[in-house]
Amino acid sequence: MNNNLTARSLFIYLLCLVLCAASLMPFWIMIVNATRSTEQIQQSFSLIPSHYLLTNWDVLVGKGFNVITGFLNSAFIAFSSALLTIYFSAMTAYGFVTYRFKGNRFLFAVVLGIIMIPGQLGMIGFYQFMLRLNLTDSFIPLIVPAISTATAVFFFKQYLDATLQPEIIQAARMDGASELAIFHRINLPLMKPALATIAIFSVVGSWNNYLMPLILINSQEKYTLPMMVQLLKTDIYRTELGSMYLGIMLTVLPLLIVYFSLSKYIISGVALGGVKE
Amino acid sequence: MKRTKKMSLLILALIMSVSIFAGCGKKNEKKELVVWTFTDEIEKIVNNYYKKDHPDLPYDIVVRVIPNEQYQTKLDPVFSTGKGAPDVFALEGAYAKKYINSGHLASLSADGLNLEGELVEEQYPYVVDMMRGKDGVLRGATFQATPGAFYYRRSLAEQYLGTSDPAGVQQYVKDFSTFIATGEQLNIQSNGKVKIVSSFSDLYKVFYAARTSPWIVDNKLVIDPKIDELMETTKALQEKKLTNETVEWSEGWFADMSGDSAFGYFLPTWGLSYVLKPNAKKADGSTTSENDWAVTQGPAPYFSGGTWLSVYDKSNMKEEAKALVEYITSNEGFLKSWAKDTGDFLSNKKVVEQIKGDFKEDFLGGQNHYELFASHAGDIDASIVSGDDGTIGGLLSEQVIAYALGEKQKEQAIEDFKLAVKNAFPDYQVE
Amino acid sequence: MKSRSSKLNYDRYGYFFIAPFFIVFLVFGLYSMVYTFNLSFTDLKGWNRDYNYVGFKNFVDLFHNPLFMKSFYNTFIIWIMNFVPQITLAIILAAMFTNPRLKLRGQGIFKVLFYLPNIITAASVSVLFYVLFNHPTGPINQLLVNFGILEEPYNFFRDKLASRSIVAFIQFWMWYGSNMLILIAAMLGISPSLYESAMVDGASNTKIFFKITLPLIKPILLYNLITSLIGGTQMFDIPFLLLGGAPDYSTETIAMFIYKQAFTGANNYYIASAASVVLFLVVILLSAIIFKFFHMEPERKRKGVK
Repeated sequence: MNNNLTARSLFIYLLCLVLCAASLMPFWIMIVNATRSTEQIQQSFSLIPSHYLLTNWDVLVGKGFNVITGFLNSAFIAFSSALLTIYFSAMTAYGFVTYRFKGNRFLFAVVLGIIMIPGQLGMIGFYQFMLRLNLTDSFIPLIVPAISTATAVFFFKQYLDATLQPEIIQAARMDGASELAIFHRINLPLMKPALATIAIFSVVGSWNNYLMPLILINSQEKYTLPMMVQLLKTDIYRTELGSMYLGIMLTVLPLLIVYFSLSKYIISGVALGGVKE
Repeated sequence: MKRTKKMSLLILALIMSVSIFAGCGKKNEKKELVVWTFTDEIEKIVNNYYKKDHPDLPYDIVVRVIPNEQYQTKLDPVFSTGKGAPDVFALEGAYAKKYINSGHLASLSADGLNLEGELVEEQYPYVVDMMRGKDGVLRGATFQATPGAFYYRRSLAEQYLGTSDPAGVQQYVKDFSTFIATGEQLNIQSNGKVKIVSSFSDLYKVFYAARTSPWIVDNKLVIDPKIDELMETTKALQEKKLTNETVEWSEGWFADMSGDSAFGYFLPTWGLSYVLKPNAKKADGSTTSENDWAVTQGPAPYFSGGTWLSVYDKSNMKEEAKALVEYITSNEGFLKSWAKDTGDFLSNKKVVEQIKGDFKEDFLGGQNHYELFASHAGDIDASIVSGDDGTIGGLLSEQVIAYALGEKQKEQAIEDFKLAVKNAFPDYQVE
Repeated sequence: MKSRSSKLNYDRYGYFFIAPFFIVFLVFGLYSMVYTFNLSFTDLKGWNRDYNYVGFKNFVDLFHNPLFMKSFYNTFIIWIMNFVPQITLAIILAAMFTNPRLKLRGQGIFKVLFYLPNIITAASVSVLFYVLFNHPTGPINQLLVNFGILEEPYNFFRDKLASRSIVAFIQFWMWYGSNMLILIAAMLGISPSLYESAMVDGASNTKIFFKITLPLIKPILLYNLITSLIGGTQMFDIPFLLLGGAPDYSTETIAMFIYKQAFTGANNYYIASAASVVLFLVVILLSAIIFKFFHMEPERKRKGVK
């Protein structure tokens, strides 16, 4: 039994290590390429850093755009939309799970239907409509639609289906708490691991979103970070690959920080500590 | 509960304030001439030349640079909705015709902004033809011409062909059957070490330019005899192992520039300074081919790339737009300093004739490449270029590769190509 | 929940809770959806702004278009090739990491690292894999030749199976961590007391997993399956940026077909819209089958939790 166990955990560790290496590889290559010259990158692949980091940095900054502005724009969009996503999606899911109102199942089916709409073509319709609302070159179409994130509602609903116990809500009602208060004080804390998970997905998705901002935003002072990095490609005859990798690295860095700080809610699952059976 | 409510209110207020702020930012007292481009050249021209020559413009010029990959994605919704369009915008050769025939571009002919006479007189014919719509109306102009040529290694030519002189080497690459024979000669004499090209994908653009019929005639797909020749040539190069089997713009293709394994490359004017020069020295410094190059016309005249400027038809600053376009395409002072500062090859043959004697390129062993390009730029024929070329060429290259690598019979490849064209252009007749 | 009158009384609050979602959807989402459905019955293309209604012609044409049918086949093949290993690995990892008995060292760092590939943009990932598998000088080819596994470099991107496998592998590698995080969140939502009592009863890990964990995370597994199916059918970035559909259209997915119709060639918005509608209907159909299969009657399940 014991031998069996050690053999098994050895296998598990080995698997985990291989997966970790696979996860870290692109970051390493990114770092390495950020230190290499464009010609080095063009001519060969390497895992050994070179010494062009400063040159690449100069090119990046020399393109004349303000990295700080891009960072602030991206951060504002990503965090506002993540906040709206988790708060309103949790609210919607809670509404579906807790209340047996008329049309409950039908409306939830609508939510599922919304998820299934293919995204590729919606872009033109969306752009046309934003023009009519006079909302181009504004952050609103990039942030406010986050309130209606169907996948997050679906996830929270499934999560609550598995974990929410109606007795707790009943008990809170007996104590005279209002419905919104029950949602805020009892339900939200209960959902912490789920909220953190969706928050991560939402920040990552919004941070890396490139096409929508590109189509909607026109003024350079509203550019997001990925849009600025892409500007390195605008010298058509030559792409500064080294600087490009450096730019991508800088774009990824804030995401890593957010991710690592949110992941503690997922790693240490103490969220349900307060729930009485 | 109150706290969270306040929080959400705060967030909403924050978002509102940002949007109001955004709305305010737009209101500017001064009029703006908006220019969209996919390359920072136009930005440099506007900021470093045009504005310096015109310090007292009563309006601002805003240049918006959008990466080429996403440029059409950004342009299309603007045109199809008719809102938010720029006044002046740049177009690349590969997709210019699509916009020329869109009905959204201002005419530069006599009935419109009236630049045609001047342009026809001064410029190489192909750069003007490129911007003519199906109705013959001119709708764009440029400052550069981008003729292509065959760049080759002098030392390898001397060793295996017995001559390194451009006129002498031209005899070895004057047409494609000679080209293949020369490839075999290089391969055999070097014991397989030297291939005539690194990748056969270099050749597509030369063949496409050598066609005599456009892809679509009277709404019907026409497969020019040159396409058959392209398929056979690439297959011969592949089967006789006359290439290094790389792909254009890939690591191996770039790496071959500094070694001795590739004899030459098909590249346009700008390929010299942006592709060959930076990569002639191996990145680790071990080998170099610097100053061992020369350039000759090759089997057929062609061009690749190029930036044109057009004016939006519903712009309310057409005269201002015209002034900018006219400056960039015809102002001799600007063009001369642009050519001197960047080495760019100009589309204005009047100016080219004046300055072509001034160039001498050490990298090409002292050759005057400007003179070579000047002598061939007039031969380029852009009358067969259409807005669908980019898409159709892409569909064909998949089948050319499949045939050259022996994955498919030729009949099958042609059938699959027709099917793909039918799929992308259901309105064209394909037989 | 027993008294009928109080239940009705509370249940109307539900509308307030779900209202913001639907209001914002009506404002921002509905227009583009209706727009797409409308276009699928028209002949809008290119620079035209006017269009005619053509009935179901576009749909009939689609089913006679071999390239469209091929894109359907490709999409599902590539989806299955990546989803099966992806969900299997995600479940195994999630179960291991939440199992209180298997006190794995450093599991915090493992959990965190496995999601990382998802953070990088598809554009960077596809460039990376293109370079890795490049012919003839890419590092994978060099390695295989140096170790004598291959005699000469192999052109992976001209081989249909290899190309599909590489696309599927990238999808797998990018998304297993995300699935794992979702499953971990679900497993952490399970009341620890259930595990404790099972362990007191001396149940084995395998038994706990199949008797407690798996039934309780069924709703989340359903979520994973449905969203992955939808994500899979809309697969675009990686195959598009890596190979653009080559070789011989073997990696062209439905979403790529739609994109190419709408944004390249003759800008056939009508074909793209019709293909979007077909895709939408197929996904609904498949989801309905999966729901049926999972037997997710809300009432019945609710009892199960208690």
